[in-house]
Amino acid sequence: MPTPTSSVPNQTFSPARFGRLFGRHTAENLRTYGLAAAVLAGGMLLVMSYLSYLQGAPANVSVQGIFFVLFLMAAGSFFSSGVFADFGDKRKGMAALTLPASHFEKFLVAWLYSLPIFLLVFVVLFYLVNAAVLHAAAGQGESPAMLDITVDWSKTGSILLSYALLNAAWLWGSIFFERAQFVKMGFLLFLLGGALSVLNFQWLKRLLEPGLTPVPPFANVVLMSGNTMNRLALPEAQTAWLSLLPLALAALICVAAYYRLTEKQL
Amino acid sequence: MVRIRNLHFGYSRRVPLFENLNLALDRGRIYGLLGKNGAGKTTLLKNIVGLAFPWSGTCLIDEQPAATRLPRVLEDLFFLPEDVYVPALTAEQFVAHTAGFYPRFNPEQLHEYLRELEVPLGQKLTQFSHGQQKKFMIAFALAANTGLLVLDEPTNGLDIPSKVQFRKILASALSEERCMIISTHQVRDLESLIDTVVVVHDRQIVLNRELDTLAEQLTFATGAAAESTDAFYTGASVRGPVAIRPNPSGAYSRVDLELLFNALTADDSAAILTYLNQPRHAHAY
Repeated sequence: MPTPTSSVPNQTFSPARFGRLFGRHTAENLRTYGLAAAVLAGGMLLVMSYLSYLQGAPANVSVQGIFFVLFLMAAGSFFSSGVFADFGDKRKGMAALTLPASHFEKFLVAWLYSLPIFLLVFVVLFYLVNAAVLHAAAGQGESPAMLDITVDWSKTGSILLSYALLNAAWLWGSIFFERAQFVKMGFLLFLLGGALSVLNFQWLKRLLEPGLTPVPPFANVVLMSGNTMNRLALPEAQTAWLSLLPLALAALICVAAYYRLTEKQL
Repeated sequence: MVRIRNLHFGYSRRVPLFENLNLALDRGRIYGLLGKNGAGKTTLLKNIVGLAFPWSGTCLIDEQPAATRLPRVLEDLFFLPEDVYVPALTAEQFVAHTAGFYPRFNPEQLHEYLRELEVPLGQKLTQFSHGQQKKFMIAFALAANTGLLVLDEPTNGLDIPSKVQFRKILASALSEERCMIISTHQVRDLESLIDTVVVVHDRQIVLNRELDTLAEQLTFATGAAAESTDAFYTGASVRGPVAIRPNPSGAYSRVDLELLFNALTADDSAAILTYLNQPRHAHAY
């Protein structure tokens, strides 16, 4: 016999409630997202076709890879920085926070749109634009090589993990700051990145001088001794663990962003 | 339904807006929340619905802390702010995507309210005028049939016929299961609607009393009857002098909300507050 509370949906996650929330968010933002996708495709088309025109030939696979990463990071950052912007706006925030869904469901909708759905749309758009530009730039009978992100999964994986980390940081900034989230979080990221690099290098310098070459955080250390270069690296087994660092950091920042949402006041 | 105990809150640690504030709101009533500009009416409503968190003390809705914003609490609560937000959807689309969140939402009621308030359908909500947007959201809020309905300055931006319709609809929507709180500084708009008056002043709730009870405790005198030495508060109106006096006989005296509010927020409000808070008059907050 069911207990009286058995009909009460779970207060953290209910598929039916989440479905409603996802549908509502989609209906409210579909037009904006569609326009944003069109602008992204147009921007990529403009930049990539202009470069092909300048060099008089289709871009090679390495250049296409650079475009892929740059556009992904730039567009993803811009998009992710706005997913919680509604919560910073008093009018929209009141409607969003009092809508009967859990904080987790509200966070999940934002995360889904800013990471998996964004990635899917971005990859499709990039391939469409890239194919169009390569086709237009190729000479008669030429068939230029196209970037294939499925060839080297370790490389693609590290790009996706880096994007996941960046996405988590922008999500946090999107809920932490009340307005101008992109500018403020961008500034904070540059500041943090700079401070971390300087402190990391200064600390290593105290430990390993002389001969230390500039080294970013979490990278292998290179020591110059005359003309001899000595490289300090983690053992192979531990390097694999290090590659999961962005994922762990992304998860940690996502948790921080979620709790920030639960503490949001207007 | 709503229980606020020893609420301390403010936007700056140095300037608390509420200190040790206590308030109890029950189902089956329409409360009118009155206060001067900056007294904290909207802030109190935000604390009630969980959009602002107490520094200390508790703010409960059906024994659940409002700040946790649990879905089961939110689906029985509708907060309509003074400045409403509507998405770029048609009324029909908005209802299709939002009504499902409220288990007791009644579409027939919504259409009836929209018809009475003369809100057109088929257009995007963002293309409505501010007044129409507000009327649409009022109709939706009422049709959601939530146990707690919180309206912040609902009549601001409404034209005169719409205010009349609003009062009519709101009165018809009250049931034993519902608690409505209406914050306003336009007391005349709601004088005939509310049954309990709550006054926030000087970081406290200074009054939470049914109008019928007040009508038996106080005499709202006009003209010659107002010129009395035992008056708690005297003022002037177009009808001549007005005053609030004790009502020892308990004979019904129509409550003049504006006069009462002025009396409670005046510098010399101690006498009327002491009188109302005497054990034989006082009610628990």
